[in-house]
Amino acid sequence: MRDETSREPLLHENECNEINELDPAELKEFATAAPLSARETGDELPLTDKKKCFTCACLVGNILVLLFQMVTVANAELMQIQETGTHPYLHPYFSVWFNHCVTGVFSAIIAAIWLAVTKQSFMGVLRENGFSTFCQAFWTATGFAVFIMFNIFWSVSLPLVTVSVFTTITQTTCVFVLVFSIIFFKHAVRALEVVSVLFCIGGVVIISFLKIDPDSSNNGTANTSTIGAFLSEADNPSNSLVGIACVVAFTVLQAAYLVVWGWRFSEKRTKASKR
Amino acid sequence: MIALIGLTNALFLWPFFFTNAWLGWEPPIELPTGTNLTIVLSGSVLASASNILFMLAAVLASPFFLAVGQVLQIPLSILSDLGLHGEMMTLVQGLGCALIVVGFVVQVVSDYKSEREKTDRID
Repeated sequence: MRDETSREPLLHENECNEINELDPAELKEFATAAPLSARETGDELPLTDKKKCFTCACLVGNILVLLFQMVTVANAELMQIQETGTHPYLHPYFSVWFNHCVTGVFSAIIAAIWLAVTKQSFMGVLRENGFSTFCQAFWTATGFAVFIMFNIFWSVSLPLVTVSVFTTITQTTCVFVLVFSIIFFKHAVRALEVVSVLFCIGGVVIISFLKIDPDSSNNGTANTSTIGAFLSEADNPSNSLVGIACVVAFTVLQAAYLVVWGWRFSEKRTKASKR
Repeated sequence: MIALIGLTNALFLWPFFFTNAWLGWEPPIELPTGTNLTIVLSGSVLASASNILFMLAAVLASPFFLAVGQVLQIPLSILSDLGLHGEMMTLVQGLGCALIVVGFVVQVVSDYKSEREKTDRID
């Protein structure tokens, strides 16, 4: 029997309130899934393990971000070849639609393998992500499918601007993500986050506005390289105003999508796993 | 969810091929052939990888972390130039890269602190 006087309460007040709000079915699910084992039996991960978990998540996140960057740059270059090559294929909407269909096929294969390996049910995973029915998940996916068509701006802008200008403008995504998080989700801004954005944007501005002398020790080869491409873009006739407007639209919409996607799935996941 | 997005995209968004062509925004749909087919297929594989990584990273890390991480592309480009073309970075480029890397490290520290506060609250 548990000694009520000598131990910490099993649940804090806010957790009790959350449980009180559950309906009987959810309460049953909660009781089955989380029989107070963590604090009751002391099975909770020690803080050092939690730190290790966080470090692992951070590392995986970093690796994914870096991979995402590499793939995005390669993809942008390929899209430019597609739309400005000797036999250009100018169907930006079709390209984006087709890309998203292929993304769906790949994801379905990965998801099927994942479900088989982890022995989870499809509906179980949907419930874990806060969906009570398949229909709910389906219509949410439809909303995201329409929203992610912001990639059309990416496709339209690439033949109109150089990849370097595109890259430089899209670096400002972090500013928009921070602003949207504050405005729409009342995100409590940490001073370190603001410092981080200022440092990053400062770095981007310095690199974007510097010029390399073609007669420098690099013998002019810098302008053929990736970093050389960041330079003197304001004077480059291959950058049109419409293209730049499309890149800005892409950047803003991408930030909005990131915030909504992160809010919908990170938060719901946290709540579901708490339960 | 990403697979569902692909499914609903395939189901509901194809009629816009015709509206776009009707409005004159895009030429009437014609399937790519030859070299274009290869480029479109390779592009779609890369785009898939990009989309999946984008959405996974946003959930596993955080949207803000991903957005800040995007800026690392510039130091990475400079490093690739150094490796592939043997180009040394200038002092100003080095300063810019240093600022970006410091910004990213500050964000990692901020995330770590935030996570530690959460675990402390649970404890």
